[in-house]
Amino acid sequence: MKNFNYQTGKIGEKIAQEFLIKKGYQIIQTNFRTRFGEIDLIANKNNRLIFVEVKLKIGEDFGSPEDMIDHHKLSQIQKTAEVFLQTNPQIVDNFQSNQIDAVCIVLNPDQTVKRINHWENLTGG
Amino acid sequence: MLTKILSAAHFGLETIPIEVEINISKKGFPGFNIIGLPNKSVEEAKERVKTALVNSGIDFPLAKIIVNLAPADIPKEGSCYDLPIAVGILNSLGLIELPKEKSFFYGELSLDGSLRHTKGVFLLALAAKTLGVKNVFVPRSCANEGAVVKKINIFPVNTLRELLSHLAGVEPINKVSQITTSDIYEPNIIDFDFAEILGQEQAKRALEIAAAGGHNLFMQGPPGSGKTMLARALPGILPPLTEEESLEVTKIYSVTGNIPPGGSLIKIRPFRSSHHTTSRAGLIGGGSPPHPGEISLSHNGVLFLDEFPEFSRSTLEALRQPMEDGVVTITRAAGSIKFPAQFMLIAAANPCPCGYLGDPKRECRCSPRQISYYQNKLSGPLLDRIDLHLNVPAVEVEKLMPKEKIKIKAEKSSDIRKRVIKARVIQNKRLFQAGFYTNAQMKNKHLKKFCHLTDEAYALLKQAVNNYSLSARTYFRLIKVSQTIADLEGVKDITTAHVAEALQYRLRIQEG
Repeated sequence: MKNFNYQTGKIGEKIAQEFLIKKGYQIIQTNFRTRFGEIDLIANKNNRLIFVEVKLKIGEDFGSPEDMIDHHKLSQIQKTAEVFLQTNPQIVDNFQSNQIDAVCIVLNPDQTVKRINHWENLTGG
Repeated sequence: MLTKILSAAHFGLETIPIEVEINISKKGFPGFNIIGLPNKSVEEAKERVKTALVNSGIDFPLAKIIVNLAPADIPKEGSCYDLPIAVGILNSLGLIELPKEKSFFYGELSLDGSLRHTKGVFLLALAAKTLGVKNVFVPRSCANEGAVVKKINIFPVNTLRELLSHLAGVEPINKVSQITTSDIYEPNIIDFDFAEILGQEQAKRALEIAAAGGHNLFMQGPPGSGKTMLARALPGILPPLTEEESLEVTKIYSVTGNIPPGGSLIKIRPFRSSHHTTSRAGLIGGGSPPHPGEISLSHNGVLFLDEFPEFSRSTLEALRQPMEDGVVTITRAAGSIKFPAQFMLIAAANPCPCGYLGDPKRECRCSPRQISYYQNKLSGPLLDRIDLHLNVPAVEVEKLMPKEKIKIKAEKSSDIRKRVIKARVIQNKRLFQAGFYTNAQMKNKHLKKFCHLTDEAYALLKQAVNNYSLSARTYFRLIKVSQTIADLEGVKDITTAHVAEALQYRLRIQEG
């Protein structure tokens, strides 16, 4: 089961990556890991550094992917982003500002995409 | 999109209109937030509303929802905001149209979308009338509470689905028809009838006087003499609540959630009995924000405290002020709230720890020290506030098992009750202008106006006060009891016989 979740997660990140590239985002890094947690994608658009959390669910019978991003998850992402900002000055110095986004994907049982939502700036309201 | 729904919050017996503002924004990250000082039970409304909407067949919107309970600086508690929040979301989704007149929405949601019994509807309906709110939407099980209030429309709601089709104009809900006080019938269920209690004629007479005038009563006697049984039989002779009294009692019962589903006005005089482990906050009222205690729940009724000296000293002493004033003001950091507490205290106790002090047949095994310790638990000021002191001796065996030829006939509760009601009617007529219901409620300044002693009666009273060095309070209370005895007899003036009987209950137990 654990492995299965990991695999579907990988699929999600791939879908999200393609989706963002199509929207004109530049992917800087994927799967940035620290002891606090992981940031799935780090991207760049209009000189803004964007940390992206990808959530994928197969069917919405057990809650939507949006439900899965709560306060706890958000502060985890914020902490991890903080670490990235501290440890990668060579990248960070090129940007004026940064924000946290989420890409929520729902798949049909046959692995085709049912819906994909891009939520911008989670902490900004 | 922003929607504003009107609801209400209760503080003590006061109702404050609360505007529930619901904003649904499709732009932000989906979430559900309640602001405006909600406590845990309001906070949890999120999950109830969400699930109830989904289970009523409505797609919960993928949007950022913010609920603000205004005014935002008053702490909110309770589950009554479920319905206004749900209605606000439905309106923002464009599924319903809100009524044009001002409307209250109030009630707790169940996860399946039905509405649950919610406390405080009676106060809500009263507030609706004074604030000019035309429609009140409440759960069906508490609609009857509101139905006694005139000139407003009470809509009983079973389920969210039903309300949805009402507000969408598909299938209207019929408003409940007005209930008048005479429509309500509550059977007076009593544990014991006075006819079942053998002997104890004097105790019965004292209880009759207490019931008629609302006087406090203290019974002392050995174990098994029937103190508790006598007290339990008291509800059978209590008069029904008058309309004004009933409104006061219903307010307190509604806000504490003591009205059963489907119930309406309370017509039976409250009879509350508290165990001696009851805490001070439980008896007097307390908490934050303050909630009414047992003395307020027995407003206009009876508070029975069995094993009186076993209560903690601080609990008993806290009774002193409300016993005198008929109201209790509870002040906490969260605010100061006044609750009515016009109750009649019936207390019962043994004379000593073993229980047989003064018993003609059994010997008391207590040491003098033990006896004085036990009796000192009841302070002088507390006993001074009790009008009728009564010894309840053990019943003789001959009376329990009468020989076949001699039949002892005891009076039935219903007969005594008729006399009590008659005496209360006389009191009501005399005191209603001053705003009192019973003789016990009269303040000292009213005694001169309402109570007329004959010269002989006055002389006797004066002599008694001097001889027994009675306190000023006792003097006034004696006049009140004498007045009740006169009312029971149906006589206008207080005569020597009335004063003498009142004195007899006062002097039976010498303090100390």
